Amino acid sequence: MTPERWQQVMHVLDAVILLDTTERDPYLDKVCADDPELRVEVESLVDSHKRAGSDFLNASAVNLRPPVVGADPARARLGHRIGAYEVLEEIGHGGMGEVYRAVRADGQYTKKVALKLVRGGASTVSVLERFRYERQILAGLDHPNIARLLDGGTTEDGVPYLVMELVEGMPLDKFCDSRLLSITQRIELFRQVCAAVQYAHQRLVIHRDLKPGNILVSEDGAPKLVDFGIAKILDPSSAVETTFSRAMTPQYASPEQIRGESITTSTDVYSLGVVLYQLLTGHSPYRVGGRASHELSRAIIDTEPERPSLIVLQGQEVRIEGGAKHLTAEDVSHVRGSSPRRLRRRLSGDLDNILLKALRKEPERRYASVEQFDEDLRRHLAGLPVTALKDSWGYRALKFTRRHTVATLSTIVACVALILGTSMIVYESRVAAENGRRAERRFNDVRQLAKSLMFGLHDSIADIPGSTNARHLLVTTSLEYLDRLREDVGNDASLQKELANAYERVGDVQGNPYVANLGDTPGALASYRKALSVRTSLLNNDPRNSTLKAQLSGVYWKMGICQDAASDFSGSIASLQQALALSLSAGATPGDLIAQDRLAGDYWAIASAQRKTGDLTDALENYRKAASMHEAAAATNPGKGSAPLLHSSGDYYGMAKVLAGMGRKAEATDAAKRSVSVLRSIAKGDPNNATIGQYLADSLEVEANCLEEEQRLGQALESYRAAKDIYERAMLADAKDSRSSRLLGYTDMQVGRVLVKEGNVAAGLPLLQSALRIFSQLAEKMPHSTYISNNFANIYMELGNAHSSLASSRETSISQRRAQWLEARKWYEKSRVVWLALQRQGQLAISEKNQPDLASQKIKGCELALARPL
Amino acid sequence: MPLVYGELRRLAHHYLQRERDDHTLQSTALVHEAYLRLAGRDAPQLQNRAHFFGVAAHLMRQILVDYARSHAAARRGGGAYKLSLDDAPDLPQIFASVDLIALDGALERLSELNPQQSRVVELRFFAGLTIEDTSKVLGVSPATVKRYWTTARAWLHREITGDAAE
Repeated sequence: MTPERWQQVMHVLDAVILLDTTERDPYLDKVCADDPELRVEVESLVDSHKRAGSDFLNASAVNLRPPVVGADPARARLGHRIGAYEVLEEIGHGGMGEVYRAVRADGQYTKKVALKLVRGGASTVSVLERFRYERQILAGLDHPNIARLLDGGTTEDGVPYLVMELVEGMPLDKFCDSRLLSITQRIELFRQVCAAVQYAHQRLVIHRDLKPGNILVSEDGAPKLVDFGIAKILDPSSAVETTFSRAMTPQYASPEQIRGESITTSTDVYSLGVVLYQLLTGHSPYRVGGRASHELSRAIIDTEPERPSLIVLQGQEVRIEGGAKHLTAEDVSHVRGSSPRRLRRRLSGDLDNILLKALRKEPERRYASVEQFDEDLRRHLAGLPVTALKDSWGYRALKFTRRHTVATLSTIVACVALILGTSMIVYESRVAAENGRRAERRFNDVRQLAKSLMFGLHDSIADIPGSTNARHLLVTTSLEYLDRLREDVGNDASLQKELANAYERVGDVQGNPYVANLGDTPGALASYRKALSVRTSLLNNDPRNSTLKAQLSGVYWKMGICQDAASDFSGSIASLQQALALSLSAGATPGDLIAQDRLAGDYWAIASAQRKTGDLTDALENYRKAASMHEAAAATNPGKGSAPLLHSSGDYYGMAKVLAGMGRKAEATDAAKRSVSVLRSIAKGDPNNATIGQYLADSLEVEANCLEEEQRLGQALESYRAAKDIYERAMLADAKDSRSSRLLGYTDMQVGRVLVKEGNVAAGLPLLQSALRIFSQLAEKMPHSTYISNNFANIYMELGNAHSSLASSRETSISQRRAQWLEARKWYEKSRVVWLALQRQGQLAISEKNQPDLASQKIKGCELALARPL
Repeated sequence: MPLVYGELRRLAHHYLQRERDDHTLQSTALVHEAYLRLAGRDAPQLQNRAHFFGVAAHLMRQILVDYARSHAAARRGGGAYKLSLDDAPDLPQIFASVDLIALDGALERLSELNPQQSRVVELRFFAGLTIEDTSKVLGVSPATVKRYWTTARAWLHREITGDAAE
């Protein structure tokens, strides 16, 4: 159908639907007289309209969930009685139902129990079956390391439930890590688990879902197996098989479970192997990002696990709440009371062989029973030879030939391929193609999502004041999608570029200090690093491409800026030197405004980091370079945008700070004024631009500092107030903008400080207190920021100054002076503590290096005053 | 539009309460959250609001279809298994009421015939907007939205269920 034809059809269809049934035919006779096909089409759609009824699509997707929280039947159970039990609180829910902490209401049994209940809408026959079987299975198990089944029944409204021993414990892996258990201790604990599983196997029960979360360890260190929810009786006639075979946890699932083949006790051997592998190495046996389950299942079927002794030398990305973090080999060995090298030695040999034997793809090549697995562990601990041997190439080749005795020639070829390290993954081609298409569709879905999140939705709210919270959620979600994409992006250059752009974008929103950001510097650096690795590999594939060089330079630059904001100045300079080298190599012709601006920006950023390390001479030279390049770019390209001009204001800003640091006060004030005047002229043309406003406020502050240095206090106060005005306006628009609030706190402190200095403590003190409030709020939000710590040290110092000024003031009554000195001493002491902490962490800027001593002197001053007779 | 606001607010609360471990549905909640932040301000410009809903509706469609597709893939793929006994969230009832993957494909085809009409379905079905709100977002009359909606429903129903294949 063409759009035009559809327009026509729609017109008639709409009219017909509105007509009474009796009027429809005459109308169609008339309208479709010359067009019988139109009539057929419309009649077919009228028919569909009838079938669609009022239900189809009418309940919107967002309305379909049960509307009221209280109406959730499971939640409604809290505080009620089920059978003889009183429900206390929900402690978990899974595919099967809710689990509650409960207690016997009739006092017959005072211990708390776990009560497992079918979830509201899920009371299907299969779930009921499952419960009935679980009950039977568990009733037959009586072992100190298996959670006991105590009772069971059906609620008044027909929902079945089980009552089990309540196990209050930590998942096995978390327990081991939190107690820093050694490899030997971990194996000993694990052997107790083996004994319990072996006990169940002897009663023909296979757990089928062994994982650390189902093995809880109590305070006293006793492990207990819980949730035999998908275990089944080892009875071939059991009808449960078909119902249960699909439920499992992929990460711990065996190859035969993935393939849907028959399950034996060997399946538990395998899952126990995965559990032990993680306990000992801290890694999953397969290096898959974890999200894409099809990849994981493919790895479980096809990929040999890495040798435990090798994998412990590698770092890994692990998912934590709200993102990912990098876990190093040191982290892993630390919680095992070891070092990476010692851990490697401890695992190599016996433990490598034992684990790999438990994890063999073919059930018949694993340990024949959990008992044998356990026995090998015992032998290892006792220093006896173990039965597990290295899986040799010879064995694999032999196995391969045995399987392919018919095609001798191809066997030889295949063996050669094996020896060369080529993996032979044979898939049924049709299935593979189908999987490929599906994977591609999924990939595009995810890609679309990531794109819309960062570039669509984010753009639609980024400029609206008050959007910080929403942007936070956007970042988290985007990163999840991007990380999934990263696993699948392959060598496609355009996709890689897209991915790198998106990571950079996320990084900017997280913590680029030069745009309105969320104050998450570590998060921003992590995102930039991801962009960096993608861009680096792009450039490696096309080493002469100057666009790619410039883009890579851009990521290094952003990283440098972020490291600078986190006070990692040496890291910052290293990143920025990389950026500069790449910019130089990419080249910048005089007509190329952007390239010139970029190159000048590299010099500027290096200068800024040098300034903070105290390398003032080099900093000044680089600022001068940057300023002249920016000005030249602005001059040769008049009217082509104000970016280089704007950036020159930053060069003068830095210059002012350097010159002030060198004690060249008059020159410093000149540079600051130049920066302010450039920004005022730009702001005049673009008064609502928040970024320009913030730059201007920054420059005003420096101007104020310089004026203050020259003892021009009145003018200094004027400049501070102008800066404070700007931040106040920004805060009014978005109270969560962390940058604006930090700076507002800062200007409050400055204005307060100058007022105190002028002798106007009454006006200054409230401002200092307001600054302290702002910093305290920020500290909760940004625990990593050293900016905040510096601010605390400073504001404590200023509060001390304000109170000591009051103490010395003639207007203060004699009786009040002592209290003021005490108050002043308290603040100085607090200040000293923070300065010393910063000093210990190596976070003191050069200009701050005397601050701890200064605080000590002030404290001494207070003490002298206090010791003096009144 | 207080009605939609209340609706979304309630849902956002609901999702946050219930879907602790379900990232996908948290994403939906995030759309609501974004909306709350917008609606909390006095007079967001109509254009921003329209833009927001335009993107949000499309996003919600993508999220739900992605969710449906990943679950379908998990069911069919490899050795055919559910994700996990513990982790598998109950599929929202939406998956029982309509085949989202088929709906997505049909909407794609509809957008080739009349892109505006496909947007109407997105806004009505995926973002839950009323006829009036949809007309504001798209800048067309409520009567047009209604006509688009009625005819699109009939067409989509035929596409998805194959009514016409007699």
